[in-house]
Amino acid sequence: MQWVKKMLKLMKYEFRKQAFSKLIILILVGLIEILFFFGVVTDNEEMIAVAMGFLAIFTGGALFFLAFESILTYSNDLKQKSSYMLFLTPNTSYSIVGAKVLSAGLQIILAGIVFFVIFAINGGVLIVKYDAIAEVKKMILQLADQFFQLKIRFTDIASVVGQVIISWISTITVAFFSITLSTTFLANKKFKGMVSFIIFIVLNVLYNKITDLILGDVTKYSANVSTYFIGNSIILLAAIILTYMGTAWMLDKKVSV
Amino acid sequence: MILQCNDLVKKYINKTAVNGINFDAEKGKIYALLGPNGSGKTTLMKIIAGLVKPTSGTLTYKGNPIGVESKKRVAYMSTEPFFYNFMSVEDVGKYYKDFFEDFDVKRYEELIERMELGMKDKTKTLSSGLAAKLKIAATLARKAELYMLDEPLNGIDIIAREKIINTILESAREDSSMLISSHLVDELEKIIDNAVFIKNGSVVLYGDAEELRASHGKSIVELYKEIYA
Repeated sequence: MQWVKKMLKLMKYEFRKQAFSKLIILILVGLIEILFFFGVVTDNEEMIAVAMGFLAIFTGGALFFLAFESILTYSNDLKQKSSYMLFLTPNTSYSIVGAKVLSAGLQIILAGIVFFVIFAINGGVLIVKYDAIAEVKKMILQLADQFFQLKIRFTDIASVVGQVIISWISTITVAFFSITLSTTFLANKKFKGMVSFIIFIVLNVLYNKITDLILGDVTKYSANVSTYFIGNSIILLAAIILTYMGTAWMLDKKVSV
Repeated sequence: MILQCNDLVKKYINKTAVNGINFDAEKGKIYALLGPNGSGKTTLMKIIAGLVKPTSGTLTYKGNPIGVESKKRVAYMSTEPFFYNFMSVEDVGKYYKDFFEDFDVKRYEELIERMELGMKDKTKTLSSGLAAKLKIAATLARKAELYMLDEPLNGIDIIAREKIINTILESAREDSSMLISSHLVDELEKIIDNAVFIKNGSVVLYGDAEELRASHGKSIVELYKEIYA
């Protein structure tokens, strides 16, 4: 239990380090929503379309930024003097990296849920307000059903969502590993960032090769997409575990801050 | 012995910061780490704190390698400001309370008042002198077994120095040790039990301050000038 408490404390400060950007994201989303609802109340379809367009672009950008910010925070933790605050605490490097990965994953999931809820609310409002949109939605679903014979199953949706989340987390742990590896031999040299990026690319190419080797061509799985996603998720999980363990080990034995 | 360094070496790509240091520290004593800039004092302290990994050699705290257990008992204050920018003075106290079992909140509040800091002050807006005082308050509010203070008087004006030295002495207990580095050797001379002179990453002279004075017929300040001039 003591271990869990420590992890939660570490996670609390990870959130606090990145709290300012979350506040900015919330304010911007709030502004877009004001624009959207103003459009709804005043029956200004152009304004609604602009707000929804902004929201769609902003959602992608914000989710990408959240993942990138976790990586940036880790990189700063290894090169700035404030890293002493973290590495002087009596926590193992496994707890420190674990807290970072968990808080990064949690942030992405929470942000995903928040944006999903916002889109659901906006979509619901539009369907209630404009019968035409409800008709369009029905038509699209019918067309999809007739022409592509798509039978969307819950397991397929769940496996895609799971795959996206695991994929994001693996991107973060691979990035952590790359930054840590370059720090072991380059310390705070100017070109360390570039070397980290090259390591990151090489590891991703390696991952793709291994996935192709184990799972083969994705077209083989057209009858059962879930099987492919589950297989891919297992490989991603293995990559997460390996890069997490490797990062923590290097931090413990090789990295000086 | 609470701390034992044997043949400690730290090499970087283009320089050797610590070059075969052998050094032991006993409980209840105040040690001065002396040497000019770049002599290896800070690197040695960072190795003991667990921030820097040695290239070779062994280092033990109470017979165990540096790690989680030693970090629970060693309070290190670096010469650089290191608090997170988003923190206030109060947040620093909460952070230390969250992570260090030996952190005494009341002592921290008392030291903050003595250092003329405000709990609501933001760390990023503190002057260098006030930031130095905050580092000292946070470090000395721990009831650590070993305190390591790297240049604790850096950025502190001449009037406040005595206050800082008194605060450091107050924190020195029979069951704790202190390792202090400073360029201001004359300020340290009055309070230390042992002196460790470091030059080019190696210990060139080490011993009980009183014995060093007697055997060389010189004060620690004079010895410093002789070694590094």
